Amino acid sequence: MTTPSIVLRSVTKTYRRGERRITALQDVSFEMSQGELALLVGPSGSGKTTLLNLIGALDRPDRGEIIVGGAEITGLSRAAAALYRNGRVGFIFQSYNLLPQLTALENVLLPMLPKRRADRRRAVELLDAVGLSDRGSHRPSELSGGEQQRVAIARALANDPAIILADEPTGNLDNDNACKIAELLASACRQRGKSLILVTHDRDMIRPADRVFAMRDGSLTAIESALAC
Amino acid sequence: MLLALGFSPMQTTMVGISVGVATAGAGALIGALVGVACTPSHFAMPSLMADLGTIEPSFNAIIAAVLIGLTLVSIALGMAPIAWRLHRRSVADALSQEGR
Repeated sequence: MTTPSIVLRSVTKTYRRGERRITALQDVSFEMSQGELALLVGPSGSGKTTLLNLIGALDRPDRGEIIVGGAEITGLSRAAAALYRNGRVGFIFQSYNLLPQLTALENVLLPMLPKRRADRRRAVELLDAVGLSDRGSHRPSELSGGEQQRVAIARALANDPAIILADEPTGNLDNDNACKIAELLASACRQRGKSLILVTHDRDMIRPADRVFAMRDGSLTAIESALAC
Repeated sequence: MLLALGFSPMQTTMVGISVGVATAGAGALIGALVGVACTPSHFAMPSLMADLGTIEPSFNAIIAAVLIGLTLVSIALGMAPIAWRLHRRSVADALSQEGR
């Protein structure tokens, strides 16, 4: 049996909204092996993004453990959490979040800057891998939505992270582009042995996904393995 | 967004300050060049208070220091809410604020 790369044990997260406390996650537990591709599905407000934020050390749980690559990440200091995000996690957002002042190539180089090792050749290779070898000098405003998300995928892979966390990466794209981006993301992760957690409303986005985690009201309601579509 | 890419809160704040200083510096430089190019060779403004005679505009180290000081204070005031948010709240909160 392979060692799990992501382990969550009884993770609970609440938010305060004025006088009210809202439970975003309630006792969520699961394990994922390295290289698995998982979909995280559920209605809006079910806790999907909160779960992604916790695994990415963008937030801390109130209770429970999150272990990534054998190391507990819930107690990391802000500086250590930044190092963890930079080295082990690649984020992909619905709205691409590219820096508009930078070119596509510079956006891919950006995550390499905190470690002061901007590898231009690797950035060019990654742009080539996502089919944008001729668009490196273009700014995001000169690229289509699908192309911007391809740049975001290349940027997420820049530091060769073990985990890719994608929060509705096709939410702003038309169906045709959404399928292409999902295929590209899945194949990029499979080829490189990355674990992928992809938040989506569409269970068929990756065929076949290794796992589907279904969420509702902050709880995992189902974990389906080796879904054959 | 830089936070999600692994920049620390300190690095993110420094990037903001650098961009602010660069923008303000570029504005000051362009303003100074326009001033130098457009300044008449001789200019004197009559004072409303007759006993002061005429006032000749001048530019010296004190004025430059005041302008630089005002620029730095503006940048610091502009960055303060961001630095506060990064220091006191979670990165996820800061990111969701950025997206609004």
